[in-house]
Amino acid sequence: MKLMNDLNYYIKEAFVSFFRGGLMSFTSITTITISLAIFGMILIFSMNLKEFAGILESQVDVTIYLVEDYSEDKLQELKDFIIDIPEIQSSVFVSKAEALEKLRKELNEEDFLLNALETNPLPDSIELKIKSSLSVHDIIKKLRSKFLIIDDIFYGQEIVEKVNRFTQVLRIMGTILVVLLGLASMFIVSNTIKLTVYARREEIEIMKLVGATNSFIRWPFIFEGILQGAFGGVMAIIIIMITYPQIIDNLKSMLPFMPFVSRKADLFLLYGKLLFSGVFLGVIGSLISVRKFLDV
Amino acid sequence: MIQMYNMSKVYSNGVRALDNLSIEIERGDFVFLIGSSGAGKSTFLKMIFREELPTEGHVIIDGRNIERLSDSKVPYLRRNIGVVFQDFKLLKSKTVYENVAFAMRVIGMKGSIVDRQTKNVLDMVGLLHKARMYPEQISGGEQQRVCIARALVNDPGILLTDEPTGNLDPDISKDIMNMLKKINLRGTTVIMATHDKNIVDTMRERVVVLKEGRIIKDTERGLYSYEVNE
Ligand SMILES: Nc1ncnc2c1ncn2[C@@H]1O[C@H](COP(=O)(O)OP(=O)(O)OP(=O)(O)O)[C@@H](O)[C@H]1O
Ligand SMILES: [Mg+2]
Repeated sequence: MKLMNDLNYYIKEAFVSFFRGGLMSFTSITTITISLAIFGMILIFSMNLKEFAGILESQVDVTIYLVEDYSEDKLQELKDFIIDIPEIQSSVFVSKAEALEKLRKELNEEDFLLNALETNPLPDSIELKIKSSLSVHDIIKKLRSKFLIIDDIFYGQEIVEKVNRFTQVLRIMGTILVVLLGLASMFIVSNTIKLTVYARREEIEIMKLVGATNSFIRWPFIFEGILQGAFGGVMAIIIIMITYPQIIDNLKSMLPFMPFVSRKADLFLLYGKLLFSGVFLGVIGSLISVRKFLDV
Repeated sequence: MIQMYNMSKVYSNGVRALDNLSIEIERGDFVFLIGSSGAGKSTFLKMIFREELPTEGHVIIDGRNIERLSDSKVPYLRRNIGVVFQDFKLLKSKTVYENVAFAMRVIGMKGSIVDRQTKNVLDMVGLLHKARMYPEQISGGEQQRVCIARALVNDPGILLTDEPTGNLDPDISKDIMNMLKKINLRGTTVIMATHDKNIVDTMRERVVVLKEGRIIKDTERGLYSYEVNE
């Protein structure tokens, strides 16, 4: 009962002060909104890259292209070697004729392109399925050094690594940007609260003199920070809710292979993160100025 | 009980406002604190509700040494002390009613109790009909009474009043004094700094005379007089 009564007081005071704050509250919220919207966009971008990498990674298939001329013995040697590797789940030999047939099927209507060819340009190949993507590197290295009949080896992992490296760089830059934006937001929140504290210094003095506890004096200011943070968070969420589907629409035709993330669960998690970050910024911002300027 | 032992207060600017002062005030006492301007009356009161800390000596309230009180305990000390400030300290942005209710609200009292008790004390100081007005819309004497109402609203064990009748006309100050006496008879210790000779001489309570921060006279049923030898 007592707690509810106090809580009621804190929240009411916070709202009053928030609206009295007017322009400052508005500036504070705008900064938080911009910071969080950028933070959200970065999260979405890396979420999509991760999804993309995941799809590539799930295709850990390795294709070994063979040289033009080789002896059956050498091929058998390679096949035997492959069978002995425990990490390899299965292997299938695909002749150049079969490969051409497969390509024809994939192209279906447009196979006139192939009809123009006089000879089959595709090499023979062996398609491997590997149990775990971790061992792929070693296997490929071994194969390359041992067998001269191997012309080239193609595997999705390579691209995955490139994407991962890119994601890494993006994450570092994103973190730096987000930290800077976060600090700026905190600074502005704390500044807003500082002004509120200043505007209400008489009231605070009297509160102290009649025996209000320090925490009782602090809470309304902390709630005000929370209010600003939550408000900013909600605005950022709205911005992303509106812009993200449009971005997907515009990019889908340009990047048809890109699997844009639009699962509800993922997006809700993202919104949760943004709201939480907003509240966090608000709390820290107000704590800073309450500690520094309230002197209670 | 309020006890002070060899207590001195030196402000940061070097002014020695209280000088090696010792006194005991029993629970339920009524004490007038008199002395010329700058004698240290307000400072004396500030020592009791720990707005200022003693530079030397001790202030003990109900057995607790208040300079050893941790910051988090100070609010609870103050809840038992009502203060009528010399400069009122009313909030301009709040109505008379809100100014009084505020003092209850900020120590966490529930709304229904706050409302009842606030109206009760406003009625006691005769200002219930001006509850909705703002401090700037009422006279100085009325503001003083709001301040008294606020000091009484939490039903304190100790009431400190710094010239509570300074701006009041004789009739109203008589009413206020009757009210303070009534509160005192219910067991509240009342300490009142004043320059009002009339009041002191009619009430015949304990009179403590301060001069340059020292107690120069302490009489049981005293009169308003600065002189050491009457
Ligand atoms: N906050 C302060 N800082 C420095 N000096 C102060 C402070 N408050 C009071 N003083 C000084 O301490 C002395 C006692 O002041 P105090 O206010 O206690 O006097 P007083 O008896 O209440 O006077 P008055 O009757 O005019 O209200 C004065 O010399 C005053 O200038
Ligand atoms: Mg004074």
